[in-house]
Amino acid sequence: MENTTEVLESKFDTLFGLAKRSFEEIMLEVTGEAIQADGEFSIQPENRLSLSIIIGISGNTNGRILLNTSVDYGKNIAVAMNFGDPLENEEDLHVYLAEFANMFCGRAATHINNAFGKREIWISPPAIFSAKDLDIVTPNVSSMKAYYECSLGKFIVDMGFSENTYDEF
Amino acid sequence: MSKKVLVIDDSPFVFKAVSKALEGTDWEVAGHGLDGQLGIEKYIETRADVITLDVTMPVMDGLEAAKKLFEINPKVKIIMLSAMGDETLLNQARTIGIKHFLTKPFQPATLQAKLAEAFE
Repeated sequence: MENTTEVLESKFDTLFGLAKRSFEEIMLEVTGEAIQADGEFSIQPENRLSLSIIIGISGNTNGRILLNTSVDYGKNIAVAMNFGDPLENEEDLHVYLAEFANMFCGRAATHINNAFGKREIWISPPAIFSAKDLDIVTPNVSSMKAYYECSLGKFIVDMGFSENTYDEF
Repeated sequence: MSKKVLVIDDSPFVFKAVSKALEGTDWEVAGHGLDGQLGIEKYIETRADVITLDVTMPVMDGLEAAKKLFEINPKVKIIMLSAMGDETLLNQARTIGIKHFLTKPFQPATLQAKLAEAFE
């Protein structure tokens, strides 16, 4: 019998693979640019704000998807979502990015639920943080990261999971 | 005469995107409901020709709203416009009576084609 840890690691690998595929699909559909995860880098823009969007995952697997970028790169995504036109109002940026995260995580949930043949996960509304020197820490989850660099900027998809233990209660 | 579409979605972005996608067409956005309950009230007020309906919303989700919309008008035309589209969810939606589906993100031409399909 397989070690429980190995089973979970294999499951989390599958979930992460499907989440990466979802991000690549959504970027292609929104921006028209095909991207692939490559390398490793940090996003610490000088004189620019970091931007992180968090979406919670609940269901048989708990966790969160974190999309890290900068405000400037986020603006590029928002313009692409606005069919190439500049935003009428700068304050709309968070509205656009929240929906971008919702589309990405909704696609991930779709692929994951179809792969597992049941309602494996559900997603919660996004929360957006922008600040200088922003660090978001999520203890007690197994975290995996994918790094993307394209014409619109740099993006890090950080996905953390933990198996639901509600049946212990 | 313009045909009317009602957008029921908790994201203001979707309302903006649908409005922009339909500029210069014979479709007019008749209103925006930010949750299922408000969407039903907007439908009663506008009697839109087609509704775009999100699934995950506060107060009342899209599936519950669709059930009530079909009670109000069994012939109501609904396009489920959602970021989620797994088979379990689609089957639930089909059981309720929803026949048209569009996954976010969408391009203007795709939305226009889907509206035309639902309107027929």
